[in-house]
Amino acid sequence: MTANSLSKYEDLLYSIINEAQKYNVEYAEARFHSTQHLAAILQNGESKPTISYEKQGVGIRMIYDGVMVFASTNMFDDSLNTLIEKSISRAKSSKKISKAPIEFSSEKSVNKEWSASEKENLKNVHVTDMISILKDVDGYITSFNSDVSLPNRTLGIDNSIEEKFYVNTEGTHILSRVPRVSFHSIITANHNGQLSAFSIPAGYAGLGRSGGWEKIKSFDLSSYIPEQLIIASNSIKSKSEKFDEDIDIIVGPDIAGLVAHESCGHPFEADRILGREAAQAGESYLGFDCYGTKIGSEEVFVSDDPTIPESMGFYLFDDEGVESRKRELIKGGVITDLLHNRETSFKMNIRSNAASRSVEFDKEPIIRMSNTFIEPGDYDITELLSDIKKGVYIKNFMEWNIDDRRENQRYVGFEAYLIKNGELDINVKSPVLELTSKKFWSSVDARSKNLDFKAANCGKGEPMQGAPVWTGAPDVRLRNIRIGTRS
Amino acid sequence: MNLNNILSIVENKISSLNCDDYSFLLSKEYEDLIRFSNNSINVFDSTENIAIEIYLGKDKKRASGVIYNLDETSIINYLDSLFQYCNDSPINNDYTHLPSGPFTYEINKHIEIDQINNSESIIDHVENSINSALQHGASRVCGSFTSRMSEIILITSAGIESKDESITNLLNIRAFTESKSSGHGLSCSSSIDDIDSEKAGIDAGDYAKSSINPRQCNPGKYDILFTPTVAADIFQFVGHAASADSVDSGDSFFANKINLKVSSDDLSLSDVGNPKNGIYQRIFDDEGTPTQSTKIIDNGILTNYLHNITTSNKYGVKSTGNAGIMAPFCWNIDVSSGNTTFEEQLSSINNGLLITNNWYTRFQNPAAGSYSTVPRDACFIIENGKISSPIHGIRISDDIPRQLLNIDSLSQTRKWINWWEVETPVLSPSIVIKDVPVTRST
Repeated sequence: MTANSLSKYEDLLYSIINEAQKYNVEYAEARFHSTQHLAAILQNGESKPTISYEKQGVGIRMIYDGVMVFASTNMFDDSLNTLIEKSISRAKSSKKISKAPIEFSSEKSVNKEWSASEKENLKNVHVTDMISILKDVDGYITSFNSDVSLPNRTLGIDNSIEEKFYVNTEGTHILSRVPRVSFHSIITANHNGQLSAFSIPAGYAGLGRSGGWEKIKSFDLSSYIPEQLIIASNSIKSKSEKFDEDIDIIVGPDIAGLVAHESCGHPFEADRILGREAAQAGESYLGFDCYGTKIGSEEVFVSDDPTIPESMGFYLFDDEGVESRKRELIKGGVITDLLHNRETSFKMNIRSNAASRSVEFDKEPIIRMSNTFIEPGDYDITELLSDIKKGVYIKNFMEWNIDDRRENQRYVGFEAYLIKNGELDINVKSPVLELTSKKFWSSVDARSKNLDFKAANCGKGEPMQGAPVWTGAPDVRLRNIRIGTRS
Repeated sequence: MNLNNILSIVENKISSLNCDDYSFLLSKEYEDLIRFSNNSINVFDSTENIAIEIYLGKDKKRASGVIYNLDETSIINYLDSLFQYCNDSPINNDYTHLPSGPFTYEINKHIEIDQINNSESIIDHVENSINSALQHGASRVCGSFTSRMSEIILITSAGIESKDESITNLLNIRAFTESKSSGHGLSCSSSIDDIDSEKAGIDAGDYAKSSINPRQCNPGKYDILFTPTVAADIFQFVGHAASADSVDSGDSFFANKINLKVSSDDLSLSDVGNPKNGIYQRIFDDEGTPTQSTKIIDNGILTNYLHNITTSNKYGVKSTGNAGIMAPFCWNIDVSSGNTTFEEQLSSINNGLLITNNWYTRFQNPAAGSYSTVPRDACFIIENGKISSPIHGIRISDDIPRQLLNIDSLSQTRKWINWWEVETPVLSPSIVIKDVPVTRST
């Protein structure tokens, strides 16, 4: 295990806890949080400035007289105690706009050090290695031979290391380290004078894993990029198709995974259900009494699991010191769990299931997804296709959005095919899947065996926090769906 | 922490590296933030940070970054690493030396640095906005108040050494009724005294109350009146498309359109670095070039892209003072006002919609500007020039270039918009766009 570089801040963190306790706070935590990025970007073959981003500091959260305050700084001098004093003063002043005291669920204290597996330490990676890979990818694009030309491309590799040292007034003491490697790209295509910008992977997603530099090999860019260029070229040249009746469709892992994230993960965040995110990311179509409610067909199984090795959303303890576990959110179409932190779990009189995360030292921990996915089924793709007479296989997408209660969603296909008599036919351009969450979950009738994940950056909170996650799913078949066409 | 000590550590070390170009921008930021929901505070955030952004260029190779670890050893180690990254980077054929001036900066007279320890005012504004919304029909209110003050010092190898400061206050409020209808209000200003928390609460409460019992709206094309909050979202993407970096990366719908008609004749739109009464002010960019007012669209014609020194050299023009070392970006977008009142805009629509807020704008094809966005909070049918029934569950699916050409009117009055969904401050009128495609879920 690579040594955690933050252990030297132990005295600082306990001095913060001691200072907070002088004010008789109900609860205090101090989190030293370091996020380091080394990013290489190649735009149209030219290198952008190499980016080295090293952000670190301490985030302090306290509950005083039922009021939550959060303070953060990277100035570890006398101003630190002044900041704590000011925060307590702000808690006192804010009491007049506090209608209900904030309390936390009771959790056991732990003393742990954990990290994601890392064979080749990211600290030892040279910029030349990163640029060399990007130049290879650039070569695959510039040498792509097609009647679709690719005049613009922006390619990036980001190596990041996130380290945390967390302590609280209940005796919990946790050191953690998660390195991550990811690849992103945006490419512009020109076909008969029409410009189309698209990403590989589609949907502005990325290839990403937690771990050391060895993970870059798992992306298999030398095969993946040329294969995706052919697919993108065919998609761009395809023509749209109008469907007058409801049809059967299959959505690929990229779309189904995003549906798991948008239509299950987000509305299952207990803080949204309670209205805490209402002014920004919105609320939920669920109420707090939703446990046991049937939400979809018996084929719907959705989970969120931070313990998946190598995943972007990997963690073993959350930022409230609670041990993580797999959360089975929907089983057989029935709601079985929500995503909780200690504040929301207190309100339900249950234990937290460790969904509280912060992405940087100056952001409060809030409820976040980790790796949210539809569980795989028993079929292979040919079996899913076999009894569809006329339909569409929408493998991935570019445009998507959903309303702020997570009811009405839309995905516009990028790689998509007509299905005729149980087999894939020609490409079809930009089929539009625009339906409610209830309609989606109730229309699922089969899932394939192949579970696939994509890396994504999940936005939530104020200030905005982009959290690394995986979205995942198998191919999912839905019956009797209205498919539109992008005008 | 002594800023002069930090500056001298950076300057001494960076001088020893013998770079062809360097810059460092030291920023000190204080931010207070209250988040509230269900008429009650959730958390009071207080942040105090010092960060140093550093750029190094040598032998046409470049590296840049940010460090928050401010002890001497860490700064020196960081600069050694950054210099190594710079040496390991490929030669950039567009490499351009940092601008050398001498420059005259507009002295920033628009703000008063009096914001620190202003927490009582922030709490009062939050309480006031909640009460206003409740008095105007809301049953529960949520939102946020952010008060941010930043001081920056820029030093470059080209002899630039200058300071600037900025204050931003943002109140964002959302009100809900028992029947789950909702309304949105906001108030943005550099001065906390100019925040109108009562009006923001009234707007949110009134919109929530007037949008109870919404009905479904048929998909189709509608003339739509967008309030400044929604119009600002469209215009921030116009600003993004005007960045020369967006053009170079291929995700701009303004590529190859300089001196061509891109919008209705009524629309003019500028990027402004230091707007009077604005909510974010910068007198110089991250390379030291003075910020300015740059006309992007002049009466319907695309006139300029936004540049830093690298893109300006590549395009053979002067920098517009929009660096970003990595890429030029907008400071503030100033959209021209029109000659109609909001009421006249309403009365100009026989069969259309009024959209008061939106979110989740995503592009199918950024190069074509094809996108969709989800209206939220109060939306209404407009019939024969008057607001009729509230609606819900719709989505706008359109192309920004088409929308710009189909702007029918801009209002006389404008409003500063900057909130969760509109990250670039925009001074926006309300606008009417003809024939906007509207869809809904099945």
